[in-house]
Amino acid sequence: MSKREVSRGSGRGSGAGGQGSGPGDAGSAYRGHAAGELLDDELQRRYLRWLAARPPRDRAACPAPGAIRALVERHGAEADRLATLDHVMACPACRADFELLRTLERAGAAIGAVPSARHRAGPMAARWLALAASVLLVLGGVLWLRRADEPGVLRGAETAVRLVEPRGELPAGAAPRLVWRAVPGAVGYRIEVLDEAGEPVAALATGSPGDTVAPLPAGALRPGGRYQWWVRARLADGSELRSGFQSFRLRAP
Amino acid sequence: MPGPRLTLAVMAASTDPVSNALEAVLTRFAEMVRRVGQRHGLQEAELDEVLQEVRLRLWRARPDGESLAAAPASYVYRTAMSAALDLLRRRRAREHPRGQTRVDVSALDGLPAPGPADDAVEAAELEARVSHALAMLPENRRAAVRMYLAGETREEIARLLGWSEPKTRNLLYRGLAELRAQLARQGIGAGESR
Repeated sequence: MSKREVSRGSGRGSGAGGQGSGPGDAGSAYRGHAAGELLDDELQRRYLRWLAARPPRDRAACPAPGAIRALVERHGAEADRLATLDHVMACPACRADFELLRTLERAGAAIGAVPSARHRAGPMAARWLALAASVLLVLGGVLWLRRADEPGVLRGAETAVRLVEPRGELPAGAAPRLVWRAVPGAVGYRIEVLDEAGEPVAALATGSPGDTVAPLPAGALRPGGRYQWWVRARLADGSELRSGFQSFRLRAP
Repeated sequence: MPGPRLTLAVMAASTDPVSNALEAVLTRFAEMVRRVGQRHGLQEAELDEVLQEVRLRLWRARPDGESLAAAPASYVYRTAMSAALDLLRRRRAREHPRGQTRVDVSALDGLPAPGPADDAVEAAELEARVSHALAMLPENRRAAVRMYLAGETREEIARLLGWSEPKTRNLLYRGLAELRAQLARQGIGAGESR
């Protein structure tokens, strides 16, 4: 297998079309990696070898066909569907069952028998409004948006950027500030706050290396909500260092 | 029970407008199933088995004209799903408990074939490490990463899980980064590429 970017979609084994996108914007952020870490296509190759090497499973432990149907039709609790998906993607026999049911679902959607999969526009619209509002409060006056052709490098799970606050429980109505330690050599930071579902509720950026504090607009957070945040530091050579994730909860009034 | 050809002939020969409408929907559905199934690497025989079962069920049920006329596509789809689920259950019941079942290895075309002894040990060790590293990921990131590593596109991951594009991108981004770091800590890195 060549060293092509799997982010651009190999389609191998999935039958999913093959030309879709990878995890990043046109394969941008995922092209790079720290020295010694695996490229996407190598990760994929090793994963497929792992699948090939697995002995046949006892299918008594496999999810019922009805659970796989719920997965392809997006019915039921997300936790249940994630558990089913986790199994299906690691079990060739269930993967074959999944492909059959997914094919029927796709064909059903094509003839108008089932609603085509659309993202939930209502909650998403609200989230994006909050996100857009927070982006306006960019620190340092320079919005830094990494473009698809930037040589982004993500240095794994190293906690090169250290987060200070918030963490733990915050009083109701608090408008927290996000504070982290400066990274030597950083030319800017990108900060993201995610809700429990992993949806971004605020995305901030600063182009000034001296700025290590970012106020969060109170409207971006829901009382009683739990959040995680992280920071990525952009270095002069275009690479990135990132923090781990830090959790906090905004108490309900 | 009528065979495939007979059933097709019976359905096609009907002059009942409802049956004709049903046949038209079924034909369109079957075309889509074959088209999508081909993209997903499914065997034509398997699809034929399901589609034939759908025809038989529709013929036996003789669906009520009024309800059918309201939503023929939905009726055909539900019948197809039901037939497919029954097919999968029957197959599982026939399978040996240790599961010598259909394993689609088409995804592995082009991969280097493992040798008999050393590679088996190596593969087993790799399995344990990859499995462990994946298991360390939170469930939502793990599911996204598994789909991605299995060759699914980001759009398909979002579609299947009903996630927004930013959420999918975030979970995948973070999941892959964590997986790389986990593997690096276990000594699996780019330096030992083979």
